[in-house]
Amino acid sequence: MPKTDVWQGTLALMILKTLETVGLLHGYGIARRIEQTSGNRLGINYGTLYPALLKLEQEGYVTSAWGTSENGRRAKYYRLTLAGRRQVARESRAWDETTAILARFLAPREGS
Amino acid sequence: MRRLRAALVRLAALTRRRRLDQDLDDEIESHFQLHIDDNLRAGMAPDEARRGAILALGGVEGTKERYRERRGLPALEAFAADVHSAARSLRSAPGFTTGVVLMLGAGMAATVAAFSVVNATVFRPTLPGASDPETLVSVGVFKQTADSPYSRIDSTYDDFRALQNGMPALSSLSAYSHIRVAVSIDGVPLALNGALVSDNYFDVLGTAFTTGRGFSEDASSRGRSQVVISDRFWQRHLGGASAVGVEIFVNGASMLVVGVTAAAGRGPDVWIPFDVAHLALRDADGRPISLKAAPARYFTYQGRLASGATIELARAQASSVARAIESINPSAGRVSVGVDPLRTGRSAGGTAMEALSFLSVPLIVLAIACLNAASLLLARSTRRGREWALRLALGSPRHRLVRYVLIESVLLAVGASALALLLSTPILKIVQPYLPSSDLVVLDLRVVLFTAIATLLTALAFGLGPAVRAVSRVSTGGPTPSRLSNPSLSRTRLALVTVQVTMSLALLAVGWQFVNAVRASNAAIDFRDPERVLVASFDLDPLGLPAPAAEDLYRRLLERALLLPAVGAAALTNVPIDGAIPLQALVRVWPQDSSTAGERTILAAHVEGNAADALDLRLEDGRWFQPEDRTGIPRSVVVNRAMADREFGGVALGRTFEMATFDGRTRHPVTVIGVVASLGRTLRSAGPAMLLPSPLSYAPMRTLWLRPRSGRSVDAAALREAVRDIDPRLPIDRVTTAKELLAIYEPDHLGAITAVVTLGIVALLLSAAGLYGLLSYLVSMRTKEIGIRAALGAEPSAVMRLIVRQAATPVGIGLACGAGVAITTGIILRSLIYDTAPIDPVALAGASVVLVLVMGAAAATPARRASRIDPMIVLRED
Repeated sequence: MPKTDVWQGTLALMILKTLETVGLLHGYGIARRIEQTSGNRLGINYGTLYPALLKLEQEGYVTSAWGTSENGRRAKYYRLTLAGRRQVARESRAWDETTAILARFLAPREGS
Repeated sequence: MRRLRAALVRLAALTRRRRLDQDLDDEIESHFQLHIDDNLRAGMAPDEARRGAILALGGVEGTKERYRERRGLPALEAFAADVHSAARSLRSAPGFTTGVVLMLGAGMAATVAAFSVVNATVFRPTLPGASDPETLVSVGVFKQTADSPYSRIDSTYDDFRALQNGMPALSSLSAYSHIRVAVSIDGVPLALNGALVSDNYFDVLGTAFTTGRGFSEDASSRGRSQVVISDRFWQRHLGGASAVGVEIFVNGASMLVVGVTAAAGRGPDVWIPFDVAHLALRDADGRPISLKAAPARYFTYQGRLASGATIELARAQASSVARAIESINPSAGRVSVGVDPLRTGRSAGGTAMEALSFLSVPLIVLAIACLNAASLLLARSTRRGREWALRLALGSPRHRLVRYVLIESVLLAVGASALALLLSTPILKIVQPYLPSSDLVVLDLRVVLFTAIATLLTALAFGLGPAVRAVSRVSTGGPTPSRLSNPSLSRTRLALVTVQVTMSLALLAVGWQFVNAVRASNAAIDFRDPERVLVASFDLDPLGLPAPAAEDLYRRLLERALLLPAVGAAALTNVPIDGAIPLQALVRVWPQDSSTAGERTILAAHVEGNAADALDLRLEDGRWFQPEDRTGIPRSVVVNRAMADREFGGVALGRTFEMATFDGRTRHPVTVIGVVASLGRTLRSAGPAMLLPSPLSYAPMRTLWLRPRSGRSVDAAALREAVRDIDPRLPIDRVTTAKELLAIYEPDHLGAITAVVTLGIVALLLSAAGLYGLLSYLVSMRTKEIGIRAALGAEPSAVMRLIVRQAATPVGIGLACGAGVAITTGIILRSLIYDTAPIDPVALAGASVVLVLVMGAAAATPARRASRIDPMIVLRED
């Protein structure tokens, strides 16, 4: 099955949501987790992940610190800040609304 | 908010790029390891695992680049890189950089210093410390004359009362008139700027006081005469001790200090109220006179609008006051009364013009410096054609190149303004003594900013033009631009050098002439041992003696003074040592004919005693007065060189002409018996003037000059004792030394002349630098051509001539134009400053010779360099 690219502007939300669920994770882990969550239907260009993480960090939604992975590798771990948690809630709500609206357009008309 | 935070984080990231790069490398490496581990676990071969990880990342360098772009501020980083590169490029051309920065810096420093002086002396608020300035108005009495539609005229106390009573729109109106006062504190006399003001003056302006207050409203209730002093005076002469209630002597009268005004820029040091005006005012015969009886004088009126009143209402009322003033003084003719918002921060038109003329010379130097800098920038940008082509070929966008050149120009301008700031402080220190105001001249931030922006604009204007042209001519990948000189560019540069030579010659010639004038005038003030000569002023007016008795008293004073053991020479004159020249010291003369057309008014000081020694006057021709000259009405006169030259074509001795008092009485013929070089500053006359053996009319004020014998000294105490011997009532107004006296009178235009000469020399050096730059540029442009000429057998001398010919055109045209400008300037300045010919041919010729010599020196090096070009080396190039 061909993998779908990540839609414009949704990568940040996916990262935030992943970190909200998992808590503490390194970049590679976040990417894999997103792929797994999508049931391997999404293909992430790992090269775009790091600038996205950097942007979230600059905006204060995530923080990072160096740590050690389960298999003994040194890795930079990210986690949500309080502002990040609020942002997840906000973005999720906005996304729900968008999809709901879009769904109304795409749903077969009642009574037709 | 989040965006701002992100921007700040990105800005901060610029400062620790290296560490963050390391961090990024580590993170990408860690990502690879984690991915490879995963791939290995999935059963891939090590090579395959690694390749898969790289593919998934989408290129390591690309990722890092995208990351870095997100991390910092790419536009800013590119800008910083340009600045860095421009700085490096300027560093690699130290001669060019130093030259441009020095030239621009010198021009800017002169301008900054001049602006600061103007700022401190002209544009300083005239009424610092006044409260609610917006309701303050200035009222003036004007008269329409043939010369100007409205000129402010003198007014009287009655006019002031009419103004006060006739304008209900003003809640109050005050009057102010400048006076010179002699203040004595503990017997130490000081000549100061003073003001005669109405009692309500300080209340109207709402002046702030350090201690005390203004004058009490009712003059009759005052026990003692009151005086207000300035904070500056208080600090300097009363040591800042408790001042209110202290007694000081103003023009010989004891007065009580009632207030000290808060620190404020320039202005008077002593204010006295109208009821003691007689201390400062004199009638035509030199007698004290009350303000009510005094003739019209220059008053400044300032008032406050009543609440609710508008300035238009005040103006409407002013016109009826004007009619009232006309009826008080019918001879004044038709007058008008103007009411204007008080301008507290701006000077009147006249002073603005002065400021502009004061500034013009530094601005010219700045212009020369800018032209020179532009010339060098032009050369540089043309020479760098190859560099632009290379940069364009490497994919640099054109606008980026233009920006890069602009950055270079800006860097140069910044360096120049830094230099100017460093230089202007010492310059201000040097010019400070020549300034009329004793206030500390401070560098003004506005001035610095203005100059920096001006230079910046110039740097941009001249850097941008050539940059755009050079860059647009360069085609990417095409052949390198022609190394041959660009004719239009050379023409511009030739014009620039021509303009500079013009300016240099004008400044040098005018400066040279000024120096001559100053030398002549210095000879005039060249006074032997001024610190040893004692000067005392007397005023017999309060004694109310009849003229013959007064003359007799003065004769005895002179005789008694000569008996003092230490005194070598003594002289009495009727020119007071401070204040304006009295009418008695002015006479009317008819040097050529007796018609009104031939009439002149000149200073005629009468001197008794040994004026030659005491006043250090030098006889050029003829003889001094003999005792027989001193009997009766003066029949013989000694004229100064200026009068001999102007009125008698240089030969004055033995000439007879008619003379009368200022008001036209006792007209009679006199004969010139002697000519002195100058009456100098001792008798305060740089222009035509003469000496009389006896008074033409009675003057109660006299000045005694005492020169001690060599090795002795006369002290004030001995003089006072001698004066008491003659008549204990005889008041000494002031005792001082000639040195102090001469120091009071500001050297005429000396500061401006020093500035013109200095700037002329600076301009000359700048022009030389400009010519040198132009020729060096031409030689480097024509290296190949010269090499071919040399290869074809041109002699080195012929090559040198070729280059010198290039210099001859701008220098020749510049000399011609410069002479024109110098003569024009001379004609304009003649009326303002020295009474000399429009331009002294010697000064003009001398300046031209100096200019040609310096220009020759500037041309020599590039010409020699050209003559030494080795054809073999040149032709082997390319």
